[in-house]
Amino acid sequence: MTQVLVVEDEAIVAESIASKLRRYGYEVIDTLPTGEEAIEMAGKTRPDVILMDIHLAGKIDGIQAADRISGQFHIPVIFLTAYADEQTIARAKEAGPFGYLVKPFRERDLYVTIEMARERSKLEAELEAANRELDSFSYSVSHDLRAPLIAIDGFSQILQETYAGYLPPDGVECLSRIRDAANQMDHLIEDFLRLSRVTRAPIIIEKLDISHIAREILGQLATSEPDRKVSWKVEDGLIINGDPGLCEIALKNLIGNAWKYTNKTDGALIQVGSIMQGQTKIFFVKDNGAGFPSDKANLIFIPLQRLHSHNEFPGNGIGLATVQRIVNRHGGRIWAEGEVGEGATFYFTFPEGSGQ
Amino acid sequence: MGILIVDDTDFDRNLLRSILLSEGYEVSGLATCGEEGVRQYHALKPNLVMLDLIMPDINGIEVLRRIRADDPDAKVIMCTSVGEESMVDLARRMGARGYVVKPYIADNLLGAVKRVYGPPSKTEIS
Repeated sequence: MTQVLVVEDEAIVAESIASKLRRYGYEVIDTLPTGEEAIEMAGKTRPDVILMDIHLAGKIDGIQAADRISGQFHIPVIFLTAYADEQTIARAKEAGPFGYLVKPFRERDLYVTIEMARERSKLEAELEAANRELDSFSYSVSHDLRAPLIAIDGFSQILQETYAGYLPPDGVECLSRIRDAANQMDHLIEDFLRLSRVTRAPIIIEKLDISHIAREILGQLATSEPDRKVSWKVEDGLIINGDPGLCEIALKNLIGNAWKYTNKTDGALIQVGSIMQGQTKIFFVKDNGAGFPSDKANLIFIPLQRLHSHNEFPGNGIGLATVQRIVNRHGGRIWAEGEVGEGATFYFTFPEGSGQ
Repeated sequence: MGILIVDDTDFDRNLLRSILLSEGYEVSGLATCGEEGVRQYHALKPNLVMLDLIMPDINGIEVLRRIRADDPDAKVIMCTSVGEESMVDLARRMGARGYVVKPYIADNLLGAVKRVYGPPSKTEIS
């Protein structure tokens, strides 16, 4: 039988809700007037669902109580309230409720809301378990796949260094090919792991100065490849709300691509800036490099899709898929424009608030 | 001086550290990735490196190669869950002095450390 805890400071209302619940076949564990008691009882009895009034008798209100309960015990909480001003709704939303009932409500709505909350809570628990399993699976797969690659590369290296004298030049060349392929696969495994981490990593929103981050990334690229002559223009004061780690990965990929695809361009130029379209600020990373056929703009975000050969521009086609997932998880959009030989521009938006 | 531990997994790094400390060894450095391991080796000049094989940036065999390229006498014990014969052989050929398989069994681990490094010196027990 589904166990329900009712938290409501008006005894008559509480009893009325309890009797409705019993009529629908639920077991009412208790009716409590304060959030403090609700938190304690939730920990002790672990009910399946909690119905929580927002205005309560104790020091904390229902939203604060729900916040602590969902943080500690993963029990779905449904808010009950007589009136709902926008500010309260906004606060309630932050607590991640599983339902919201405005009093007076119909019995049937009560029943439907509880059942929906139960179902969603069950699915969330399953998803969390599946994600945990996927994490440990990815970890062991990466270990198991990488170890043989290390052996292939390592023994090839020993052959190259110690036994090169016994091999004709063509044989030495074959060993280089073997080592290149092993390293390429090693990078592919790492990139796949990163893509899967990016899809599931929790997002913590902070205010980020992407002008500053972009300049740092460009500076690092210039240091690592001092022979390249690339100029860049970065607009000042580009600010977004985003997760610092994920946004850095996204920018590294976009700017790294611009850097890579201007490899064969004289007067290579990378620009990071923004344009306003109505109320929306659109950021861009633009280069004047190899570009891509304009009708292929949608394909480039698909994992493993590449528009250039590995020999021409090394890569494995996971970077832009990773960027797209990061932008989408923040609730933004990304798209690309390009022409062969005339460079590529990547546009993206970041909403003001947080994504998920 | 002392022992440098290079491992990207917090659990393994900390476990290894406490086993070594409890036996009276000095742990002079902890590195969480291959690049940092190479850097710390040069900075600390440890007597022994406990080196994980699979790390996100550069793998343990490459770290071993870079360390030994500058210091052919470097003492390194590979520590990894990959205990296949080919990997043990590769580590030996690349100059590792010992090989320990995870999950750690304290006796095996300390046996290998004692063989390569010697017993903990009295001054190291504090």
